[in-house]
Amino acid sequence: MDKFLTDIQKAGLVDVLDLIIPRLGEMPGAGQIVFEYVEAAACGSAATARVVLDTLMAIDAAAGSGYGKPFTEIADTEKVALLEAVEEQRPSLFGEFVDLVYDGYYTDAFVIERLGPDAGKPQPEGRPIALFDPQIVVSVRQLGPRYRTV
Amino acid sequence: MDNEQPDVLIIGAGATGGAVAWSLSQAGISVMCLDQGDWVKPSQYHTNQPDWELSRWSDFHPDPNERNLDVDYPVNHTESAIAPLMYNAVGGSTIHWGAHFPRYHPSDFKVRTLDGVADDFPYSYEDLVPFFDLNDRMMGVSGLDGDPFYPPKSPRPMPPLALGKHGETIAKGFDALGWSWWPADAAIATTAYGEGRQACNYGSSCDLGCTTGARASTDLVYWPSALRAGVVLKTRARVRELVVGDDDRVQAVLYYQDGRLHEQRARLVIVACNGVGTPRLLLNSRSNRFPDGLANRSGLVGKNLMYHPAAFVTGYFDDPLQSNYGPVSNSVYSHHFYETDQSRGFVRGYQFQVTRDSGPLWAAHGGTSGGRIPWGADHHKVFQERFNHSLNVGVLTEDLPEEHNTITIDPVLTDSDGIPAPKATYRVGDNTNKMLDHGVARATEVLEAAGARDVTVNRVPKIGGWHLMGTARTGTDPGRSVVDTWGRAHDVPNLFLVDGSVLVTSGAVNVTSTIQAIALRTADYIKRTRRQL
Repeated sequence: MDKFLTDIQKAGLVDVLDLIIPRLGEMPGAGQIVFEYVEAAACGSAATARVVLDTLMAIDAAAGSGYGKPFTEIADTEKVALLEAVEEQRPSLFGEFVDLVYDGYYTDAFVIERLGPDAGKPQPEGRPIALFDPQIVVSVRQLGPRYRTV
Repeated sequence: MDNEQPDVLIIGAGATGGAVAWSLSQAGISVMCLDQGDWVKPSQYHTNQPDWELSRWSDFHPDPNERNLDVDYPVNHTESAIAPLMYNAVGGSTIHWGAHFPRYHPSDFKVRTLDGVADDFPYSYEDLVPFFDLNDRMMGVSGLDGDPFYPPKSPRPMPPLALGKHGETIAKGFDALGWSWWPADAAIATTAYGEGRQACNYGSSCDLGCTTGARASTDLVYWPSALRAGVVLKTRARVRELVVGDDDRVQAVLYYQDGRLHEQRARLVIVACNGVGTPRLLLNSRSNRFPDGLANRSGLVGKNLMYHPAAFVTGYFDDPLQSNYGPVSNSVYSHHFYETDQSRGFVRGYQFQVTRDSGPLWAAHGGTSGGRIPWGADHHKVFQERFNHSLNVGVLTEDLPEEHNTITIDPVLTDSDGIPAPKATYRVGDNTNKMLDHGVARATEVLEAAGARDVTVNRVPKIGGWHLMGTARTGTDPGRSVVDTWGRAHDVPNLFLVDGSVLVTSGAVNVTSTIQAIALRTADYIKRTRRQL
């Protein structure tokens, strides 16, 4: 993707990613975490590259027509409104882009570690759970059979 | 041409093909099986890898069109409200299933007699009980004796799965309303079982493959024994058509392997390609004797497609529920609204299947609710409120057969060998929509009774065609059915069908237990009558 993205576009992409998933407390923003993932995914798939480029172009076009300047130069509060407008105009494209961001973010080892052990891979350790307690069916047993006799 | 001529040639090594191959091989019958897929080893599953969840949207996507592996074939489902889902491999769709294992009810075999709709099966629940029991032992079923929704069953081979906080929470909801429920029968080992299967360690996400072998799949359960008994299994062998002679008997099967077309002869052929693949193969096998497709003199091959339209009703709770602890498809179930009650405004009924969650990516994409967690300032807050705080009550409805719901041959689309691909045409029926209305309202009620603070509804998700049924139905009348009571084609005396296509009606339960029992009954018939076939 290097040859497709200008430095301005790269900066814009980081900005957009941080607005999709902002930093909060211990949770990192997506700009720091997902940029490389998005870049690699776009390099590996023409369809994904199309989603990324089209999204950035739609954002730039909206910034140009609405604010007369590049996306990276408008105020943060206005950036969110601009992305919401792009999402409204191009819901399918923007949805695919958000999915891509989530894919990268929620499979990142640093993010998973911050989310805690329940977010980790399920195998080979599995999950700790108490054994079945037969007492739980005492009430429902008293309701009796509930099947239709044929 | 291959020189071997087995007694029986099976097409499809999945849930039913594997069971039938095993059964016949134990009687010394020579069996060959062809499957377009390959072996998937548990070590190939992703659930012990860091990016495991991405496989749900790539090589373990349930829709073959999205998965697009070289062993898959495409399905045109643009005119179907629901996409047919399947996996093509040794083990078939048991490779990526949830192993929820209820049986059809006794009433499911007699819906015409009881409720005046559709047709009865030509056999009963009781006829299948020995095969249900055999299959339960082979697959290794865990469950709790005393299930109120069925006549007494044989003792469950293993104790039930743990419910955890998630299952216990919804159980309280059912109890509060006085509705019956029960821990689900599951084809998942809770103790060491069979050939090297470990007890479930509650790692969840069975749909992405079970690395421990706790979850049954026929590549682990039936195939090892079948192969030891001498069954010849050819993988990456994709069948193009069945060839018949002037006596209306199948003479040979034409299949592609390694880029070449092969011919395989057999005395008897069994098709086990599921409710989409089987009609596709029959409709692609046209000849002078069968210009509308093999075994299709009734005109019913490909008609009466049924899926079990579902709604996912998801509740979010303030307390964490350990929602992704345990097998995704197996928590508790309720058949409280399974049987007909005319006051509800529809016939037949539905199952509540309570399912668990998966990992953080699944939650971010919306999980069963189908609605992606919002991006932006509230993203982390909503994620924390939902991840491991959700509980899904699936409403799985009985889908009555309607002839306009079909599998046909697409005029353009083909697989990678150039074989014409299937097209699904399907719309949800009026009776089903009324059932869904009722089920969604009741599911909401039980979630609220269990303490949910918020409930969402995902009604008839497109990715919902787990159960493929009815497209080559069973019956005694050759004008109104494709196969007879034993699964033998009315029109082709040495052809048997054993998958979900033979089901007359759908019931409102996951079908693997029932279609495997029916397949084992067919195998038993073939063993008893082999000299005359």
